[in-house]
Amino acid sequence: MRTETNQPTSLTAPRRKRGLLRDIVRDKYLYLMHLPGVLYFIVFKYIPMFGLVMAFQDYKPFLGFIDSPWVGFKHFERFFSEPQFWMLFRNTALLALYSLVFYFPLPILLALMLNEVRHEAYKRTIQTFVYVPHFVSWVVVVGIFYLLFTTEGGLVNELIYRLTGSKISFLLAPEWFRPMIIFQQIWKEVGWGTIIFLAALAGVDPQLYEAARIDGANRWRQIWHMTLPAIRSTIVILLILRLGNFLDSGFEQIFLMLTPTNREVGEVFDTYVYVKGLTQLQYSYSAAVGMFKSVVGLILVVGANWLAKRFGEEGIY
Amino acid sequence: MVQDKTLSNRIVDLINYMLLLIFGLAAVLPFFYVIAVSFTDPAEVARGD
Repeated sequence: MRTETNQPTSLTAPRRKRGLLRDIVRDKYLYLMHLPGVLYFIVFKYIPMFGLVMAFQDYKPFLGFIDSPWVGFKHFERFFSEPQFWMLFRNTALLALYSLVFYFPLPILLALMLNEVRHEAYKRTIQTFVYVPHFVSWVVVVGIFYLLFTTEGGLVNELIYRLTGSKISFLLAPEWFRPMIIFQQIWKEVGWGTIIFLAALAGVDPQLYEAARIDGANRWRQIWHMTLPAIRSTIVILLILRLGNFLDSGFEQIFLMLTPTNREVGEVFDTYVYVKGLTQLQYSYSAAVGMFKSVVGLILVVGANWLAKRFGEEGIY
Repeated sequence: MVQDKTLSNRIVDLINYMLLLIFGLAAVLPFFYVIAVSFTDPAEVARGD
């Protein structure tokens, strides 16, 4: 059956020249399908970016973007010379660092553990259990933690009291703030974080394991030489993406956990933006703070991506 | 993945299953605790169950 005789030639050079437009016409349904995604990014991510101009203005809502006076880097200068700046920076960076060190490896570990389970029913039950906290909002999570850890009859403190005769104020003491934040993050998100790794692990060819076993690899060798390399690129990509919002501490959670006693360690850029921008109405100043955060995130992503590529990984773009 | 049924493998399996069970319960039990507390008398809870 041959309807077109010169098909091989039309596939190569001449088709290239017609370019994008022809592709769009040919694959119109595919392009139609990804249109909502593109629109989402344009409407909710790119258009709001023009709001950043207010960081370089003394923005007044009545004057709008056009008539508000331009002030250059005034707000940035004010932010960097603010006595609070280093406290905010330290709090934000420490939380991000702890989250990276203590939270980030855990989904990988849990995924490896789940991957070793041979009874499908057991595996799925545990998976369902650990996914549950992800679907609960931060307000509820903090509420549950309050109920468990409060010194006024909280379950954990009652136990500690009976064992040692004293109580630990997990929720008020400044030194417990960061551990509690990280612990909540772990409790809420660790199960959900395994999904992507388990998906990557499902793609590993079982024949590889068989071959490894015949070659005498024991269980640990199999994990080290087969399973971990199988998810290495996933780990690198997630790490790069995580660095992109390195300075996002998760406003809701921090805001809910803040008390007058732990403000010294708990105040982060996100809560600062909220206080300055929304409660004190300093739009331009808080826009400048937010922009600083984003720029740091951008630098980290580009840097991490460059590093990953230097080490022969795929990177995210 | 498929493993030999040696003793050490079985022990590793057992520990793994136990740890997973603990993680699973740690994720779910707080919800039951909250439900239980919300149905009990506050004074009773304050006294420590």
